[in-house]
Amino acid sequence: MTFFAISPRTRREIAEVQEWWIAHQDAAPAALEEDFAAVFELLDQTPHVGILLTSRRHKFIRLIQLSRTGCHFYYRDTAPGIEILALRQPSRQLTETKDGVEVSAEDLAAINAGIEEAERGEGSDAFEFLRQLREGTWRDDLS
Amino acid sequence: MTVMRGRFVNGRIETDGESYPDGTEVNFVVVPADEESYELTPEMEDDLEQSMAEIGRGEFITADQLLAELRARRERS
Repeated sequence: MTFFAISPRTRREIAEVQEWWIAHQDAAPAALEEDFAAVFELLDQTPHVGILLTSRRHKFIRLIQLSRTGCHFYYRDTAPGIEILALRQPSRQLTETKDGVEVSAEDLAAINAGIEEAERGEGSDAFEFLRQLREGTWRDDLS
Repeated sequence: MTVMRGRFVNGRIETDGESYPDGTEVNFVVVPADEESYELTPEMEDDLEQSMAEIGRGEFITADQLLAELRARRERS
C-alpha cells in the first residue's frame, strides 16, 4: 500500500469540509469518508491519475475531483509516498444565518435588498397587493 | 490492471477495447475538456507550499489515521 502523508493544514480543511457535510447533507454523512477511501485506493493503483496542474513554483502537483462530494483534492507523488496538500469544496456557495437556515449568497443579497426596500416604505402590504390584484390595478414595476 | 479509453453514450461508458465479464469493477477518470484552465493561483500555491513544509518537517498523519478520524467524527455527530 502506498504511503500517504496528510499535512495538519489539510487535516483541518478536511475536518471543516466533513463538518459541513454532516450538518448539511443528512442523506450522505459518510460521503467524504467514502470519497477518501476510494481516492486512496485509486492513487495506490494509479498515482498519476490526477490532472497535472500548471504551477510556477512546483512541478507535479495534481488535482482530482472527488466523485461524491465534488471536492478538489490536491496532491503530489513524491519518492517516499503521496503528499495530500489541500482539499477545497468549490461547489459550496451557501451562507448560514443565525437561526441555521441556509441560503445562497445571491439569495441572501436579494432578501436583504427586499428588507431594505420595505424599511424605506417602498413595498406594499399583502392586503394592498390583493386589492390591487382583484381590481386589476396591480403593476409589477420590475417587469 | 488495464487502462482503456471510452466515452459516455446514453448514460453508459462505451470502450473500443476488449470487454470484460459483467460485474468487473472499474475505476474511471473523467477527462476535462479544457485542461488549460487548471492553473494554480498564487494564493493556492502558498497554501500548498505550507502543506509541503509541514510534511517536510515530519508533521503529518497517515491515510489510516485520517480514515479513522473521519469515521469517529461521523459517529459522534
